[in-house]
Amino acid sequence: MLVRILAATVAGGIAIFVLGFVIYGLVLDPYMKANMVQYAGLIKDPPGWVALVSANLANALLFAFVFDYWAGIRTFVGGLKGGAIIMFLIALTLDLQFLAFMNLWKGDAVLPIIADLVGATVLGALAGGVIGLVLGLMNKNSAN
Amino acid sequence: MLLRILAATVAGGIVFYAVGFVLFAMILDPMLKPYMNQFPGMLKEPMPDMIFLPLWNLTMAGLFAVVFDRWATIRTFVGGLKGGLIMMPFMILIVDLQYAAFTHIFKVPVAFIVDLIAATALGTLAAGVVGLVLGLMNKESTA
Repeated sequence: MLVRILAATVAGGIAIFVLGFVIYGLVLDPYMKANMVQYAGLIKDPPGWVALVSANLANALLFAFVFDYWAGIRTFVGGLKGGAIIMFLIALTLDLQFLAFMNLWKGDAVLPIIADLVGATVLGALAGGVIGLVLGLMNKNSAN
Repeated sequence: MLLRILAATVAGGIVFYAVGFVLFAMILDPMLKPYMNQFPGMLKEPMPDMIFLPLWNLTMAGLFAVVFDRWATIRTFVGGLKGGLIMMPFMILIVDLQYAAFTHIFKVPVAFIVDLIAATALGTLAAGVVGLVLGLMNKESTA
C-alpha cells in the first residue's frame, strides 16, 4: 500500500505542477493579476520552488491517501470524479478564507472566484485521474 | 445522505467557528503577528468579514463530512478525530506552503509551524464532531 500511495503521489504531484503552471501560470494569470490589488513586496517573483513542489506533493498525497485507504478508487474516471470533488472544496475554502480576512480583489470578486474554482476543479479532476490510474496500475502489479 | 452531510457540516462548522475564535483570534493572534510581514491595507481590520468567515468554516466542515460519509464511512467521534488528524495537516500544508511559495507573508518558519499545529488540533476536534453527527444521523435513519 505504501509504495502504491507513494508512486501515485509522485505522479499526481507532477500532474499538479504541470497543469497548475498551464492553468494558473499561463491561462489565468493575466486575468487574476488584473483583478487583484497589488501590495508592494507581497508576491514572490520567482516563487519559492521548494515550497511550491512540497505543496503539490502534499495535495497529491492527500488525494492518494483518500482514494486508496478510504474510497478504493483505482481508475482514471474514479479519480477524475474524486479529485474534482475534493479540489473544488479545497479551492472554495481558500477563496472564502481570502474573502474573510483579506482585501485581495478589486471590486466585485465573483467572476475571478468562479474562474479560480473552475481552474482548480479541472486541475484537481485531471490530477485525481492520474492518481486513480496509477493506483489501479500498481494494484494490478501487486496482485499479479 | 444529503441531510446527514448537511447536519454534520453545520455542527463541524460551529466547532471551527467557536474553537477557531478562541484558539486563533484570542490566543495565537498576538503571538503570530510579530512573525508575519504586514502589508498595509491587505487585512480586513479590525474585524474579518463576518459573512465569509462562517462560510469558510462551513466549507471546511463540509469537506470532512463529504469524505467521511461518501468514502471513509466514519460514524463515530473517535473515527472523526482520526480522520481529521490525517486530513487536516495536509489541508494546512497545501494552503500554507502556497502562501510560502507565492508570498512573503511568513517572516520565519515559526509562524508556519505554530499555524500547522494549532489548525491540526482545531480541525481534528471539528472532524470528531462531524463523525459523531454522521453516526447519530445514521442511527436515526436506520431506526
